[in-house]
Amino acid sequence: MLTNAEISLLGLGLWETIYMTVLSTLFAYIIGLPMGVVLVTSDKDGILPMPKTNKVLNIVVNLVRSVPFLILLVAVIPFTRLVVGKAYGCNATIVPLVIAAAPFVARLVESSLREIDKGMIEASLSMGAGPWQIIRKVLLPEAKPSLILGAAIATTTILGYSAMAGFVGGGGLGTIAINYGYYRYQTGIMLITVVLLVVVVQIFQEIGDRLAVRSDKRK
Amino acid sequence: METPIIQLQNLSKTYMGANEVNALCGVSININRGDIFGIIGMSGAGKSTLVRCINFLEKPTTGTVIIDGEDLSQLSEKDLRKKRQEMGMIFQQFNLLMQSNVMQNIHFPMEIAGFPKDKIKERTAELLEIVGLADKANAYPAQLSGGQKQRVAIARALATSPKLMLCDEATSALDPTTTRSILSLLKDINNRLGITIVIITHEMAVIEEICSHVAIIDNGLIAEMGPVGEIFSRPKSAAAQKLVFPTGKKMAEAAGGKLCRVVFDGSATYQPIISTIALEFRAQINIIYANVKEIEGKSFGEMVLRLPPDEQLSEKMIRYLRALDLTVEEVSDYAD
Repeated sequence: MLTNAEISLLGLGLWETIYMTVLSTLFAYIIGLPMGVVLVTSDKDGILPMPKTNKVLNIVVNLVRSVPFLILLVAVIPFTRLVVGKAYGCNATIVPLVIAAAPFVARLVESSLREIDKGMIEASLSMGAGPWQIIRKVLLPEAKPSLILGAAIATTTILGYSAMAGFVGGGGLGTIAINYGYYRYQTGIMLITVVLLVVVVQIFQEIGDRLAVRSDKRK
Repeated sequence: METPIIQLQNLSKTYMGANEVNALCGVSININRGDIFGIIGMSGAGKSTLVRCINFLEKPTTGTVIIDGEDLSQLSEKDLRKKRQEMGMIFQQFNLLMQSNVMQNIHFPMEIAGFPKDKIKERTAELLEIVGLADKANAYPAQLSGGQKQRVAIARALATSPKLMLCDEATSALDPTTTRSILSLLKDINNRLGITIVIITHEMAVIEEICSHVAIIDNGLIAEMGPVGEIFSRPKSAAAQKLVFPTGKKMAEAAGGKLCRVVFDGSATYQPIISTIALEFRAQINIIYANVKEIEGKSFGEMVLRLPPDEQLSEKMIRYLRALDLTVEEVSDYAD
């Protein structure tokens, strides 16, 4: 059975994982949501065509997304130090997580917004709506259920990334799994962290699914 | 005479791309205040492009759009948006906000126009009353029937008290009964509020039901234009004849002679012409189709007759009918 010390260790790890995931998702959306909106609106058929901006943004998103997370994690260490002051622990992990997740979020947001019927946008234009009004009153509200589902995907993906950061002392359940399970051959602890991660992913996904269904007025 | 509320001068629209498409080639139309103006054509004739040029959702390649004295191409983006608030528009697919309820959908154009909150509330109640949906204020579009959705769209289009309303195939997704009720609502709005209405459709029935004037568009050109009654009884262009022909398609080739469409307008003296002809010429004629229609409050009778195979005899019959001051036109050579 687990000792009290092990239980509190796992408890702390669980808390750190949730802390990193939630904060990183939040910051990733603060950056990625506007990016996703611009990807759609600046498109040549968008409501505010800006071909150059669109192209640059697309390249940046693809570039960051093609770097494997583990490489990115190490590569941005100097920047992480600059922002957080150190390169280990869960606050430090948030920096590369946000950098990796923001372009991913941008793509998720982009695909949600593209699902919206063009006719609705045309109708808003016919009423004299400007681009900003269309974004705020049509694009985002109409895409809400799809955006919520996207957020659930983003959260669970970020959670997976955060566990990867365990290799470089990123904190959370990932670090526990590496340190105890991998380096010290404590298979039991490793299994428990895996089970905990599975449960957390399930919970996040379930919350996302339910919120999306509840917010959708199309049926 | 008053200046027309809509003046379209020599509009052309070319879509660039792999293949250049000329959707409009020099279209000029004047639409007077208070008219219900129909624009009819087959799909691909350019009518959707034309209606989108009226509120500049599509910018014409060449030509001028003057709405209420203002040339739209001279307006800044901001002024154009203001101008669009004077023109309501409804669509075939309704284009309602699916995640907003009926009330919020009607609020939308007024929020865009920056109406104060209490004014929005008051106006929404009024509009719901006009379109007869006061009990559906909190329903979501997905819970409404097609006709109800179009009523919401009409309320939404009327919200900012526009001077004109553009209808793009507004009844094409509706069944005949619902179509009638939507059309009578539009007519009522035109009567009561004096709003000029432009209707785009591919159905002659819609034009006959409510329009005062009609333009027939074919291949990006206006084939014929004028008061509906006149075009109905004396269509000149092939495109117009095709549209007014009752069944809308060619009659099955049966034995017999020419097909003729005869129109009696309200003023024609009512004579028993069929029996007179039969007696006079001692020949049989077959009535293929007959109907009475009300266009702009005037009754029109129309009939499609199959004349005897004998060329000379049928020529005589046609001359006889024309002498009675009826509009007779041969439709046998018309095909899809």
